[in-house]
Amino acid sequence: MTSARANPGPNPVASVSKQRVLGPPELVRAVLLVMFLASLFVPAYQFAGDRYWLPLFSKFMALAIFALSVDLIWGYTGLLSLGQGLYFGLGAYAAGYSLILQKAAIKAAEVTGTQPSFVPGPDMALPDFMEYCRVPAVPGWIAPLIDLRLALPLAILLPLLVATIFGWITFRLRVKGVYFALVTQALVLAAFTIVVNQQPYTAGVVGMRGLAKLQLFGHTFHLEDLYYLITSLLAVSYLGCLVLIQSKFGKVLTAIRDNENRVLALGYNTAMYKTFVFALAGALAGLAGVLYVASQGTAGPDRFGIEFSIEVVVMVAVGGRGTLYGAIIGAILVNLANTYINNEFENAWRFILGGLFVGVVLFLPNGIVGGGRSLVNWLWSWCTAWQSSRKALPEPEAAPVEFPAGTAAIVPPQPGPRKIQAATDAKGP
Amino acid sequence: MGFQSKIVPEEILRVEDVTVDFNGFKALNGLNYSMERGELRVVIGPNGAGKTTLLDVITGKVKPRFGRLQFQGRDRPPRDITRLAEQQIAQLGIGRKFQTPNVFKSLTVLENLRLAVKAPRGVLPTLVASFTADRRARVQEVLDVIGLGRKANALAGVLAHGEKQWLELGMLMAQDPELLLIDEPVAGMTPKESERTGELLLSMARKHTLLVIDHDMTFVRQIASKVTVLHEGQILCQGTMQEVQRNPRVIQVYLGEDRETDAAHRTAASVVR
Amino acid sequence: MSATDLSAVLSNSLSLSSILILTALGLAITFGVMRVINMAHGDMLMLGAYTGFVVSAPNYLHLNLFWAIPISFLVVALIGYLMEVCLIRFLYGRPLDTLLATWGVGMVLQETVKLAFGANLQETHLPERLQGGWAIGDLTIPIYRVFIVGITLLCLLVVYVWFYHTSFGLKIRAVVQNRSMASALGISTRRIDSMTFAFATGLAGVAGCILAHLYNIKYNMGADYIVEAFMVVILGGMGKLSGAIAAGVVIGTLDSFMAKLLSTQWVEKLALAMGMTQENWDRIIGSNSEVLASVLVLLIVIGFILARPSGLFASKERTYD
Repeated sequence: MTSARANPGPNPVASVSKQRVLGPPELVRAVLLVMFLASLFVPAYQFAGDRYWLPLFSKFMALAIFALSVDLIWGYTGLLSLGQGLYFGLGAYAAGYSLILQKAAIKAAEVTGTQPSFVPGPDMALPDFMEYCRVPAVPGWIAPLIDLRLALPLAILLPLLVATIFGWITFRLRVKGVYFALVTQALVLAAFTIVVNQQPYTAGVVGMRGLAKLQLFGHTFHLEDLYYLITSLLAVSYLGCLVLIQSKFGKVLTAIRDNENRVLALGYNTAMYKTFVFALAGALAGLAGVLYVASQGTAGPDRFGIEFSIEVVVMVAVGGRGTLYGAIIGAILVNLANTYINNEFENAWRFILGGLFVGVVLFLPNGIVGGGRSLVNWLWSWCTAWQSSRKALPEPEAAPVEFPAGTAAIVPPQPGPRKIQAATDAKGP
Repeated sequence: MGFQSKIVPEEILRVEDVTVDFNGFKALNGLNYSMERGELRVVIGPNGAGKTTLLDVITGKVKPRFGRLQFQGRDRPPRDITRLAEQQIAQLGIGRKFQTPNVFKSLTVLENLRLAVKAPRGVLPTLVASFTADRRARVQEVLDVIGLGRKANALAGVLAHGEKQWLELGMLMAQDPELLLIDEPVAGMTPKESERTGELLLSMARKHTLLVIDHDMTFVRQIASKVTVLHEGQILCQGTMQEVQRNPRVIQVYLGEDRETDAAHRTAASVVR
Repeated sequence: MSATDLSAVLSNSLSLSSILILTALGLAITFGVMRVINMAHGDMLMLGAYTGFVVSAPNYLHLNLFWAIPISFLVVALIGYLMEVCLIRFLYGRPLDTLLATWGVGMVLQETVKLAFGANLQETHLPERLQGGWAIGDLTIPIYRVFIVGITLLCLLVVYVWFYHTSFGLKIRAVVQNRSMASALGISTRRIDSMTFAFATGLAGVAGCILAHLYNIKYNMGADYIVEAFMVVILGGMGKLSGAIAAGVVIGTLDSFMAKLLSTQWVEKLALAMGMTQENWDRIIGSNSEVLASVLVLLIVIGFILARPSGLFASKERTYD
């Protein structure tokens, strides 16, 4: 340890952490935020009317919401779940059932020349996969889903419920790290096996195809409308997550990721915090599932697969975990690359994806965003160093802490805060 | 609720016959230990004596196989904390500083202290919490005392080792618990830094109860009034520093047996056996 | 349950258990002992399977099965060695990163095999010597299953001897328990790491080779085994090879009994009594009892691990994680 030395002048260690570019930081950040959110809507103009690219970007935006949810639990709270696809899939299938039942009703109505009726009943029109498997009638637990007003809330509440229960049990038992990751993976594998296996009820391996278009409040969401809907929801989710992260709650989450023991020793019930954020992530994942299905037009069991659940983690890792916008950027970029590569070089995507996994872990642990930040920092320090050329910089080594002069009688905690202590004491444990 | 046991009114902590068993190895073996409100007790002992396990069992990180623990907050009846969860014990007024500096590296110094300062710990309150003026003032006070005022917005991860230790002590101050458990506060510090830390602890001891574990005898001598020596999960000896240092059993345990008296010891032991 | 039923279930559980143990043995070393999370373990299995196929198939090398096993071992061990040296070595102490990176490697391996052999199911054939079965009473035990049990026991013996009775095994245990001290004693920790990892993946290759002759193989067959392999290792308690064996036996037996249970009369009657229609029963459980049994067992194992993450035989330790 260096010995204490006289500190000559102003502390050379200024604000170490964040690079401020120019102007009042809050204003700049607000402007950047607006610009970022606005840029998300650009594809609507760029690809207006394009029947290929626009639904594709709608899909990307839905996946971005999913990536946001994973960033919340992994990037900020340090919980690596390899089974978030479970919650995405629950939402996706809830919407899928609804839309495929609607489609069946529409088709049946076309045959008879009547208006389609979205009323659940014993003689509802059967979706094709059920007909194929000779299911006599739509089962009672699926039929009501034809009504989106039931299906949509369910698509969000069911994953929320499952996540809450699973999270509560798991976090109370202090299961974490690798064990947690593997257990979530096993869970999603179980779900996948069931879904694939029960073809009469879940359309098995093939999944549900030919879904109806999303119809809400009398309006059919298609192409641009759908894109605006999804992107608006993305923006709202992003802002919500931002508010969450910047609150004290968000700081507790980061603290849990850094050092859960310490957080417990400070008196926070970490299991509760983790369950809360895990449940929230589940709900967001369910929402993402719904929107994905609406833009994709199909709902398949690969959403329940272990690969999809790991892919979303890679999206967040590539973009930059622990920065919400990194998750969005990562989701868009990875899926864009997927599409492009699938078009140009068949079969190369999984090679590249695998390489991405390895590359990001080895070379870009902070993702593209982190890499970009490092680049900016490096350029900035290069510029400032170049400008203040001749002056020898003082040692960057942090000076060992000297107490302020004359603190031989160190001030003990003052009576003031004790009032707070008395007040919280009265609350009782 | 009247007194439920024969606890002396000033006793803040009582550890009764506590045994902590790790798969056969008894880290604590029927330990009886108590502390009075306002005292500064130093616990020393060779490695493996059970010092850190004692802290673990008080804070609830480890549950004892036998025995119980009681904590009495100021103006409150004594409370059995043996089966409580860690965060509940912390909320009751027991704070801890860990052996290696345990601060939140991705958060700034200010944010570290903000999380520590006394405030409701529930999920909903933290969602809507604002950094009130009096809490802000308290944090500023702590920053001044630990000397990290200029680094308030630095990430805790870039602090030097000694600064991290002081930050953790600062968090403890902000948390303002009644009983502070401090595990090796001067590990890795220079003598000068150790002395400063000692002064800090002594001043904190004026209004709190402190239990300090350490190995550095100079530091222990600086701050200790009463010393407890642990060995193999039990109390070997308690007293002032001078008393403890002269105790032959303590010398034997710390320094090993004296070669000249070895034979004599051996014979005596075999007679006993 | 009649005696024939019971013995059928038991022999089934024996072979299921031995397959589980065989596939999980390498993982028990890399994950349980070295604490390296190799998500490509299943793909190592797959590589061993394809190697075995290439060696013994008529239109390729058409060698004996007994050549296939050591060749699979060597090929996959080499790949494992390369993986350790080029990737995993840089990621020690970063378990979640290792998880992601090895998953990526697994994907690349899958794609390579897919490119080379096509995406379809590859049919494999049992060598004639191992076809047929032995009749014991009413029961016919396929010889191949006995062969699997035998190979499993052989592998276990080899691993046991290697770990506890060779100097290399001693060095491995030293490195695992106290790396810096072992290094200070002159043990080349790097070499130990890579050799151990190579050996463990070689074991996975052997398992794959055996499996190749039992089931048809596909480029993504690894995914079928990896989750259960991890469950076996965790359930058995990390670092305890004997625990992994026990866990394999437990899970294999549970699988077998559960499958039997789901297909018995009285469970069916119970479900019908609770309101399910006969048709629904047939559709849901009827033809799928094995798959559903494995899902149920998986859920049970998950529940157990949640309750006791340290596994079946763990000891209480002081840990700050």
